Amino acid sequence: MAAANEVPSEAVRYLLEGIDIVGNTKTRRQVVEHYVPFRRGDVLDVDDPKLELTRYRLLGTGFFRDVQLSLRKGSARGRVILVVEVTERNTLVVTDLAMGLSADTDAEGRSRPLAAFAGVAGAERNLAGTGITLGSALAISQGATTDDAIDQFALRVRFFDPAFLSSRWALAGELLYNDALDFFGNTNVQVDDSRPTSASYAVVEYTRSGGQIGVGYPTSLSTSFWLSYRLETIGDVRLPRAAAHEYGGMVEPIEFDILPGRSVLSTLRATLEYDTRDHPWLPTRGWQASAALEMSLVPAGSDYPYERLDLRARRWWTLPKNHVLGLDLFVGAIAGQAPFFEQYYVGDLTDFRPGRLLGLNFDRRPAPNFLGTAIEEVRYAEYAFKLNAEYRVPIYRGRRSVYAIDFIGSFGAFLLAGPREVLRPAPKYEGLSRIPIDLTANIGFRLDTSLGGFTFTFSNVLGFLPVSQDEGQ
Amino acid sequence: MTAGRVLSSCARRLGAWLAFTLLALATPSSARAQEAAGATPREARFEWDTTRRWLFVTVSFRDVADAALLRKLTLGLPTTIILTGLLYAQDGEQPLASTLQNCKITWHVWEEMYRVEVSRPDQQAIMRHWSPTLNGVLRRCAQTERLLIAQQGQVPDNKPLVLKGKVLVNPVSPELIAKLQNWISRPSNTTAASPGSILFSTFTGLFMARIGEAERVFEFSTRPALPR
Repeated sequence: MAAANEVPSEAVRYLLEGIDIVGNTKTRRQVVEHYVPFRRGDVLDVDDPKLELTRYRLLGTGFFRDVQLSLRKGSARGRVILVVEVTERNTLVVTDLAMGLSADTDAEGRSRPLAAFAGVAGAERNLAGTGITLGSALAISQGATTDDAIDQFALRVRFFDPAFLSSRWALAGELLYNDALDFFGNTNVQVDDSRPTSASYAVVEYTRSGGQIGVGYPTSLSTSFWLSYRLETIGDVRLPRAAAHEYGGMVEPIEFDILPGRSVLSTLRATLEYDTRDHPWLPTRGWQASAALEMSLVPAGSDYPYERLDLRARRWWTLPKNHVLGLDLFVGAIAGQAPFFEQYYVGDLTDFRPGRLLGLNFDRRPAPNFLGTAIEEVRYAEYAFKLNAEYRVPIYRGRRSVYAIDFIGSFGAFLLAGPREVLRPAPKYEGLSRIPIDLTANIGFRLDTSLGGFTFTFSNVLGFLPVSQDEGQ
Repeated sequence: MTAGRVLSSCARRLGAWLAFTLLALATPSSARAQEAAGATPREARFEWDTTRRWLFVTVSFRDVADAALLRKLTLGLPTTIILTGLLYAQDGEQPLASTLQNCKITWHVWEEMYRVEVSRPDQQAIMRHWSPTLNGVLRRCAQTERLLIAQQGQVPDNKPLVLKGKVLVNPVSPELIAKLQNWISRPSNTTAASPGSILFSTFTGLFMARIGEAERVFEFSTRPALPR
């Protein structure tokens, strides 16, 4: 029978004689120890909140399905051994899936399918038990309506070590290969090309191969600094002999913004990140902001002299009934002669066109142009601005395979321009319509699952519908 | 391939994905965060004190002690079991009163005894006990013996009462969650070589621990009973 005496309050403390880690058949002992803030010889108070935090911190790595901490007797009275028992989980995951249809526009401005595209990314998040993430991603597209060779292919292999050599520094790297092409020209495109083509646009074929390596350091709990070096060779560039198109009522030659033959791209990028989000996929409060400056290293052999500055700030607020409002502001500027695939692309700004996957562009259409501005002339440019608001309504919460489903609705405006639009606006546009601005919107569902985060949205489908009555007739 | 066939093929793929999603959502029982143990109401005893000023409840919820919890109690680190109870009149929608019992159990590795600390609304201070057996622990922490739940004036006369209980095992405080979220590594855009790349967007957030309000949440309700 239990003794029922009232006893005075006293802390239960032991001398920590050692740490025993069990259950880790794959994960190295040092990886687990990295997250345990106790050492042999410490005085261990069983009420120390760091014990509970250690358990959740180990769970937060994603390497383990369960973690239990316990104490067992040490070699002498008052001494204990801290036992960390882990149950490992599968860490080989699919991290992203994407698929869709891209489109072209015919002579009357009607959308017609151009290519089917798909992308998949997978990762092993605990490579050989070291805690290192190794992932790869693949994106492909295949022509849908034309006999022209417009197939594309991109491959990435990436790794991420959150504690490089057991230090606070993180190390990230990537190898890339793109066998790609892109479409140029707006309306009335005239192309002089040695390659046989039936298309009403100019095509640039090219490959990209190379990689980058970066180091990151957490300057505080919420800020981190990254420095990355990138080296790529751009090869097999095949350009039309000459091409021209109609730009805002004027016929002018098409600038391809890529060097023929083989060229080198070498850059250094510094990024400062600030992140106080409460969740990486479905945040309900906090900030995420970043400032990134990338400089092409011409003295180190880069053939493209340019600098690029990207600023982004996102903020989330929790509203009544757990609804969430988010604001997203992006400002970017490029000075110099960046290759076209480094410039801002209209599909990355509007939800009504597919964005690029692994640097591949599948779509040839201009922006929908809801406001009747010069945005219909711009696909790639050096200056970009976007302000977007997103409203989320939680519709399901769980704890196993599906953690959360939110309905999302977003609305925003963006601007995409280059020196051409600023210094020599097209004569077809007057007044405010010279400003290449457009609206964007989206609705859909965002899922947080054990397989990762997924978004099902409908604006890309809506993008196949004509914007104005004239367009579809 | 014609445009129509491509669209049709894509529509079929989209349909398959939606079907997969709906199938996943069609099993909400497997995704429940809480255990609804109250499908079968349990017995409870409501008693007035001799002056009919204070109402007490006696109820057992020992079924919270599954094998995992019993093992956890022997690990040498504190385990907290909190009961929160809401008192209703039968068929009533608004709670009449509420109560709470907080129990912290620590297995003392060298003494080989359980230290049990109990706080209840009818006690001025935390009561501390030693127990050599798990049965003694459960007697104090997985049942209530005359737990104060209401006072005169809060409870209508001659109406059966129902207790709806919620048991939290090792509840997680908002402060702890905030610390965890700062610790968990965050996705970084800096490794993206392509400015438009949208793959890898969820790269590091995948296995963020899904932390609820407690390690385990257990709910029950009692049969309607008249206070004695």
